Amino acid sequence: MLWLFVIVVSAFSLFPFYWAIVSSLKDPSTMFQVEYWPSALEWSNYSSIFKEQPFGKNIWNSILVATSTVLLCLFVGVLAAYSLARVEFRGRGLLLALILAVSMFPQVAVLSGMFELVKSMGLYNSWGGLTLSYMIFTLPFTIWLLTTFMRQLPRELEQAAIVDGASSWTVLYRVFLPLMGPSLVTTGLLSFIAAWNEFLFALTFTLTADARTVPVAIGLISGASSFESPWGRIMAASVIVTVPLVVLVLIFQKSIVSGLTAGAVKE
Amino acid sequence: MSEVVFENVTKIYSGKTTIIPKINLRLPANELTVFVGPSGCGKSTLLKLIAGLEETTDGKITIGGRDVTYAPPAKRGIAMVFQSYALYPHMTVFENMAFALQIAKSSKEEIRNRVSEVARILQLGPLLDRKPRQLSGGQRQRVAIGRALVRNPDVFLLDEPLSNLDAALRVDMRIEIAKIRQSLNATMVYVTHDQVEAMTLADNIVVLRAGVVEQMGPPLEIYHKPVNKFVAGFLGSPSMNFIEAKIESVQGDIVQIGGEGFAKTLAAKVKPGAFKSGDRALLGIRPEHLSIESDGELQFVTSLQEQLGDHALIYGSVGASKCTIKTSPTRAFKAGESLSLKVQADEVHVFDASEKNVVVFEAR
Amino acid sequence: MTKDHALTERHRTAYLFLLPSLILLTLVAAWPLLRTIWLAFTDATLSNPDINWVGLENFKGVLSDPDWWHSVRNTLTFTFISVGLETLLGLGIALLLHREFFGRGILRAAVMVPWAIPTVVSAKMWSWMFNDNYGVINNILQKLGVIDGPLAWMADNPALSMAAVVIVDVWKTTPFMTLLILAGIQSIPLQVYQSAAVDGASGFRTFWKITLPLIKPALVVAVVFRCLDALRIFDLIFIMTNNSNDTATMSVYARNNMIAFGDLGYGSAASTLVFAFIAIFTVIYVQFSRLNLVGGSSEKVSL
Repeated sequence: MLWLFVIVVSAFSLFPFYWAIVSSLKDPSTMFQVEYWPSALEWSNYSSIFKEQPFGKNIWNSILVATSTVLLCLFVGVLAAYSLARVEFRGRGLLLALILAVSMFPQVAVLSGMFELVKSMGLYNSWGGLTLSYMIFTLPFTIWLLTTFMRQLPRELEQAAIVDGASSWTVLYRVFLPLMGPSLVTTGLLSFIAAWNEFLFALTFTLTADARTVPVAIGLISGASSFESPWGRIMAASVIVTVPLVVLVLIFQKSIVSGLTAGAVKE
Repeated sequence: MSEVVFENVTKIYSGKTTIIPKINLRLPANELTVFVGPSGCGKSTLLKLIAGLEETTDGKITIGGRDVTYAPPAKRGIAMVFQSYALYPHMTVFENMAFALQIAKSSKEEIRNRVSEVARILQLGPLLDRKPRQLSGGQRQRVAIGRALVRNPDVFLLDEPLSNLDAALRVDMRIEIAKIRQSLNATMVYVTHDQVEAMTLADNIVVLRAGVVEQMGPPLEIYHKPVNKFVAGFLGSPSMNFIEAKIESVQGDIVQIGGEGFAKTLAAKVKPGAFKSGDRALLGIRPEHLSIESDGELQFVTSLQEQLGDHALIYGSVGASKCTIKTSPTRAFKAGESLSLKVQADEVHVFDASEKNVVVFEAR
Repeated sequence: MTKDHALTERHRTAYLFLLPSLILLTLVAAWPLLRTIWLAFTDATLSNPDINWVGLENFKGVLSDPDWWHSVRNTLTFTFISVGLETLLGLGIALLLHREFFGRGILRAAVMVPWAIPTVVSAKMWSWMFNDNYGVINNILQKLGVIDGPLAWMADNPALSMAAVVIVDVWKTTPFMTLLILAGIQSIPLQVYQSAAVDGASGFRTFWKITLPLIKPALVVAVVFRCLDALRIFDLIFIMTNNSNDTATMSVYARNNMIAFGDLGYGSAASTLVFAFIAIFTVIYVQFSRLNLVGGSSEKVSL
């Protein structure tokens, strides 16, 4: 009974991914026959997405956007988290509440304002515009998580450093940061995944195929006519962007879980 | 000569919770002063005010005559050993001890010399390359002390430094601290809730309650001449017995104390005018100053006995008051046995309605 | 060194450290939000730089548009059904994962895969699986004899389209639910269960009287987070149902008017309504739960 449940849950979770792999390995002639096991390994879908559209460039854009988002977020977020977790000042609770509120903004509510902002800064159709706009959803939870993690560091550790003559900056980068490795990995990973997967801003703030990130590129793959979606290529592209994420998730399962739950359960 | 002086110091948290109402205190230079008191009495707060880790709300703190009230911790000439040791987990023992000197931009050579000198004193030499997690509790404690010593402080602050150690190690480290204290030319301030540490290490004990100094003095003075019921009950284990009594008669400054559970009255010399005949009073007597002898002043009813080998504790009551006796090993008593207790006359304390000790010590 | 100096030293650093974040958040959150709200009162379009104040015109337009109310209904239906299913499934899987058994790690990893896959990609994968002529789902259902002929999941039938979207959302976000609930379950001390067992409580009773009340805080947080997410759902619907009015949600409606039709003012009015909707939901939630913002034990005054 337990085993049945395990199998059903696992199958439900993994089957779509499996099906995408199987479909991506078919050639156009067998594409429209339902086969549960690939009869032949046909790699043409994989090569054609790189030939028929700038998919390599799209991947590069995604990497660039996600990485720069993570770096900017962590740098800015660590500083803010130190103040919020460690220094008592008036309005701290209100500030944290506001930051949390920002993470609940519906993206569409800032879309037109953001669109103008990105355009006016000359960042329309470039990865910089995406990195900047992604701050609206990655920065709040980065600050929130790092604040939670930093609060867990012993107070006496900081006091010892202060007695030793350390400034706030020294406390942060010589005492706290070396101890926060796992927290930074967790937080960075969550930001990376969020940025890597984002669709609405990337769709709206890019124009040309060259500037798109992977989700937009996949979302907009179309065939010769609107009735014939090139499913083989779409599945191949899907597999390509998903595999690195699945690997990341499997490696960092524990820290991802700790990050997701620290943000929510840790009240 | 770094005397630490509190002048009218007040500490109020977030504008409402008063921790230290208004304290005046002078901690003698080059002596070890212990702050004791129940949790919440403000002893750790006082230490952190000296360190500058808590901000003084009002008043003035000086170290060696220098006003440090608002100086940053590193500029006060202090070093501190924390309860949790607070060693930097990612640094080696050497790096832990060198951290403050690095921040002060001492030369590499100076740092090496200073750290190895302190390491030699504390026998930390072989451990210098280890990380804190590779050390035992006692070793961590020594590194924490070493980290403080390296800074060559005028004032050495210790916040319950032994409370995280197990009982056996605590005794060893206590002796070690006593040795360091002898070789160190610094004013030491030590916070603890352990009265054995207080009695054995202190030159002076400061007994605190709710941010107020109840009494300050050398350990034996506090023990023998407590000024009030709180101090009398706080130091000593098992703690002092307080027996409800009545003033039977007053002749000059000699009062006769009696009441329920008294076989006969007990004479004591008290401050003039402290009592009039018929007043209620509290007789204070330590368990070790009671002996089982016929024709004693008190009538004691046993309830429980603990044999500890070198001595025995007998619990029971005198009248309606609980009472404990500490004696040399003795025969087993049955519960409910009635015994006659003799009181050691020169160890009697008498507390008035405001719980002040009104016994005249000069008579002893 | 004066008192004021010592006072502000640490605080000044704190403000300095906060500054970059505050500037960024003002730039990308506060300003765009206010700008969107302002645009909602104008006749701005994507192509026309001439902007005129039109007062409440746009809001009147949106609120009298049946398509808007249709999208509101869609959003609520979607949120209610998918979050409900996710909660039940998440609770079930979390209880399962809480037990020790061989292969638990594998199962836990398996349920996390859907969470990590980009929404767009899951939408595409499932669209292909739901394909009416060549989709594997119709094939399986036909083989099992559940249906006679292929179903047109993504066309014609709004209920079927909605069902498909809900299935994908459940597939994708149940892991999140599971993890949060599992964390809640794991924080219950073992002794509580042991003492319940000693008291002779049955498995069902233990769940109902002990597990559920104790994980309620975690459960509520998880449900609220999911609701906030579901209420602003965009990409899944946008990709899967190809802008069909039958399944359009509030976000899809707003974006279409704003970008696809170029009516910035009108679209902004719809966006503003979405924001107000979610803000009200959030305020109600915050009112009812006492969120501990300043943080627990570290704030305690040590003596």
